[in-house]
Amino acid sequence: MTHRMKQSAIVFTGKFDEHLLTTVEQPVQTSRTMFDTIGKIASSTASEPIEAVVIDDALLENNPEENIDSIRRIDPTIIVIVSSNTVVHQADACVPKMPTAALLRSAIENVHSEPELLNTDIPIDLDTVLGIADEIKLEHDSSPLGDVDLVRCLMHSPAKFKETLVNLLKEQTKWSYCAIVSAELDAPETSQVSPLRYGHNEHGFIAAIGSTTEDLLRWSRWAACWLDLARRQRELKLLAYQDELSGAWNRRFLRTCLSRELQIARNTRRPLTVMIFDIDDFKHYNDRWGHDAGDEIIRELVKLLRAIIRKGDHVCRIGGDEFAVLFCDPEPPREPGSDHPTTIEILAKRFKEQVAKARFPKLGEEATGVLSISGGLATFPWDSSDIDGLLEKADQRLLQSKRQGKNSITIGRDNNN
Amino acid sequence: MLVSSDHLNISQRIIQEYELDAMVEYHPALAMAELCLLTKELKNKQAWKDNREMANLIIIHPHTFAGADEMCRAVRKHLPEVNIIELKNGKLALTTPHEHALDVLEEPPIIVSDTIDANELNMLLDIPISREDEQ
Repeated sequence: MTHRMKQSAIVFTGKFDEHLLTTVEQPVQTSRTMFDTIGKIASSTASEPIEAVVIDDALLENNPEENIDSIRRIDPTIIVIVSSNTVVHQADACVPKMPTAALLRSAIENVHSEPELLNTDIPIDLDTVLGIADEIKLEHDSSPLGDVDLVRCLMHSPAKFKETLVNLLKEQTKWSYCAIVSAELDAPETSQVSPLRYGHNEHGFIAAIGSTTEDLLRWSRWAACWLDLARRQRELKLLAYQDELSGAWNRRFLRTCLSRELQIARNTRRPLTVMIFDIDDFKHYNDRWGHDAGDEIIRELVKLLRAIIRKGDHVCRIGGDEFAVLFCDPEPPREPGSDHPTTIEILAKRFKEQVAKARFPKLGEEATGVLSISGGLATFPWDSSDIDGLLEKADQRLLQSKRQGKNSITIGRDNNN
Repeated sequence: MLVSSDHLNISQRIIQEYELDAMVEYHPALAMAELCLLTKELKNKQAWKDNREMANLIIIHPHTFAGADEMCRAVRKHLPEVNIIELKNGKLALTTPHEHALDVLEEPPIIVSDTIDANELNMLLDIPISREDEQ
């Protein structure tokens, strides 16, 4: 959730008490209909942003989902609050009818402080990163495809699952055309289309030429069931390799990924660096501001780190306040004349500086700039040629940073940043 | 194009007959949101002078939607450059702010193009008329 400026506006949609509108301590806009609110959001500018929309539930009628969804389509960062005596699940927050300004502010603050949901659609091929795809080479002979091929594909080559499913359908049905499309309009005009729905989960549409309606329906149910299984498999894999609190990868991922990246680094004669760091005196923050504040620090640090690292690098949370960053950017160094470790040193230094400047709302204004980290870097092949050796070296340098007064990152050759 | 799921066949016939590049929505609020996004995108393109197209809103049987009137008012207020075209009484017609009225037909209307032909609709939608048609 993006934190907006304090002076951004609230749009009240429907009937609200005049007293409420005058006591809200930020710009207020009013509209009578959802359509007017959508128009206001669409025409709001960066200099006059809208922070939240408060909707009288009488306007939502029987379609809260579509009405709230329409606001999110225009601007997904806007907080949607419904004024209702019942809970509206699609909203970010609900307040009772006739709310006070303080209650509204509190609802908005609560939404701001909620952790972001874990992204289950991370744009990386998890199986490729983890090396699962390389373990077994799927070879298909000339015999017809069957359910066993789908299971094998799910286990060892999930990226090709849809393709295999379509091939199997073509073989089994003899349809002249078959495809899985995400929208009905993407299907060829001459094809018959059926939704791929399993329970409440949508998986797009199946388009076929040469099928009867009844046949298409039967096969679409079968295919939807498989697609749902594939989705669940991916979600389970993410649960196994992701840290729930921060959304970063976990220790299991670090070891698996590091093992694969080391192999690639050896084969391509490229260096590979791992940085381990922790937050200085993290216990102090937990004790002084509570565990909520500690959790927020961890989430914000991961966000900050992700904004700094490059595509191909990985952030992992390997302990309470201990993190590892795997720098395995496949591109050559971008700094003219620099080599790999130098580029990494620049990234690590930039991260340390950003942490020092970061603001953590839960710690209050007075805590700005108090946070520091200590870390250590180890690089293959100079520091070690295996996983344990690299992690141990990075850990030793982290301890060295601590001993030398914290707030530093030791990068090797015993000199500090 | 805003159409209820009961009248999908009508919307498809219109899209095919007039060869429209249309986005179909079934709920007025979602249609309004898409219209705002589309208008913004077209304006951006216009700013770079690589596009002269404008967005149009076609509502199939406005009486089937609660709040169609409110939606039209909001479109005129926030997106004044958008043409609103309605299918009422079996006819596609460009609405003006004062003429907007609900469809009172009870029978499912049949599309006829007596009052408006493809070229006329193209003019309304700012689509260039092909040379063959001009001749």
